Amino acid sequence: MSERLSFDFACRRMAATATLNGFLITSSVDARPTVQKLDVTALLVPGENRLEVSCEPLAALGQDDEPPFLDCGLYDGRPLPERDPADVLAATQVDPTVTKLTEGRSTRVLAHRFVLERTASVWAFSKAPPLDERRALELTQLARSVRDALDRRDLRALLTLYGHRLTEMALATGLARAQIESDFSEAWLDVLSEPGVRCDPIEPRFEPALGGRVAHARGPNGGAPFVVRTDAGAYSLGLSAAVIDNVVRVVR
Amino acid sequence: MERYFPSYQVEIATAALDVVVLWNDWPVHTSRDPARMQTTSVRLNPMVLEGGNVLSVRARIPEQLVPAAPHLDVRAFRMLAEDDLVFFFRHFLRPQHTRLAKDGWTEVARHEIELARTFGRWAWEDGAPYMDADRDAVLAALSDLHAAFARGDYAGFIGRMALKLEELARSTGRPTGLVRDEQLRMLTKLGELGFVVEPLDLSQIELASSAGGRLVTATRQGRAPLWATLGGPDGPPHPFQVTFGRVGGRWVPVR
Repeated sequence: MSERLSFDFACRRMAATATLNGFLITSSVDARPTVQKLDVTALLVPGENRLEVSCEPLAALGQDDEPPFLDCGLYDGRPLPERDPADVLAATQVDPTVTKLTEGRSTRVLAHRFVLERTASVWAFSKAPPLDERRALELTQLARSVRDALDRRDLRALLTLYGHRLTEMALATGLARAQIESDFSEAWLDVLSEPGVRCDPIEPRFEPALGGRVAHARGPNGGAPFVVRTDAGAYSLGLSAAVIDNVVRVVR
Repeated sequence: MERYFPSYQVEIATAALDVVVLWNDWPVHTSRDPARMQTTSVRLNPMVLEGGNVLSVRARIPEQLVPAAPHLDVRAFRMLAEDDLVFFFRHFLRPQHTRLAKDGWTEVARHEIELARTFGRWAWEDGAPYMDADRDAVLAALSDLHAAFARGDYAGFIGRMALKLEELARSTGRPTGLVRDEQLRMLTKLGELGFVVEPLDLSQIELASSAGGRLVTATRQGRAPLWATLGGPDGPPHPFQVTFGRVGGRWVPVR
């Protein structure tokens, strides 16, 4: 029986990025308070796994004089009644009165390595061929397609592009594929329906990972490659790609 | 004037494992008896460095297997008051996520942090690392300390500890004079109870370097107290330990 792991994330006035094996777990991109509990089981690989969190403090929003803060960590993914609260693989609280941070510069605040004998499923990217130079154009086109879907608020296109990821998330969590797709759709429908939707003009760059089988798209400071802002908030979307069935696809 | 002085601490709870916890390569915790749950809390302030600090947690399977589940819980935090804690690192060892080497130590967790509030640069940080050729000089400094202690010259003893006490006072926000006076009063009072001071057998002294070789801690073999028991030969050992650093070309007590 493989296990589920959860990443708990709460921050305010912090631009923070958390990755697991280079896959984007979450990224907070503006000063508003954010609280998330994310199942990261689909981001685990057999063997060594590496968690990294970086952050930088942000200026206050308007009258908000609450100081910057980040509290995050990797935990046993079982629901709270079953989970031992002490069962934390690695966690940190970042308070600028404790941790020295610099505005305008991202500081790594947590890095933890751990091993897993096996994962919930054998991910398709683990058998993918390396992404060589010839795939660079396809990666760029894939990123443009995602950006285009967000710009056009085309949820159907987004679902098609992220279809493989949704399938493997279902395998990781044991939830029905339809449920995963429904959750993804609802979340992005809410975002794309808000007034004032616009995408940050980011040209993602790709970093090879996992023996070259996966490429992670990165935005500024290693953060999210896609940031959608609305009048109510800012939302990030990750993109990690691999060659599946001879086509470059979004895998996470 | 600060209302609260920051205290950086690490708490370690461990069982069924050999564990060493290093803070800037300074051993803040070493498991002694893996068969029993051991809990330690250590104040890190005197070893806080300007710039980067590194907490390293190392574990290994005990030579004599213990019939219990391995347990290791590490929490490092800044405390301003009992209810004002910021946990800058927490780690709970899950055996299924850690492959311990069978023949040595494995670093099971590591945390790097630059602290916003530090206490200045320590004199020993600029010293050259300890080499085997320095052993005689360190033992000479230890002998000098022992001689002052043995003749009951506690003021002289405290004087030789001046740098250590100044830096400890700085790291805890207390006036140096107050810390020095407290130490002198305590030693004088204990001296009245009667220390039994043993001769210093230099052949029995072990020197262990840490902090990248810039600190050298003297202990007697088997980590026995250096030279004194309190209130008679069968009295409790005076928990005396001294760590030297090279300052101005001389080895002086610094921790």
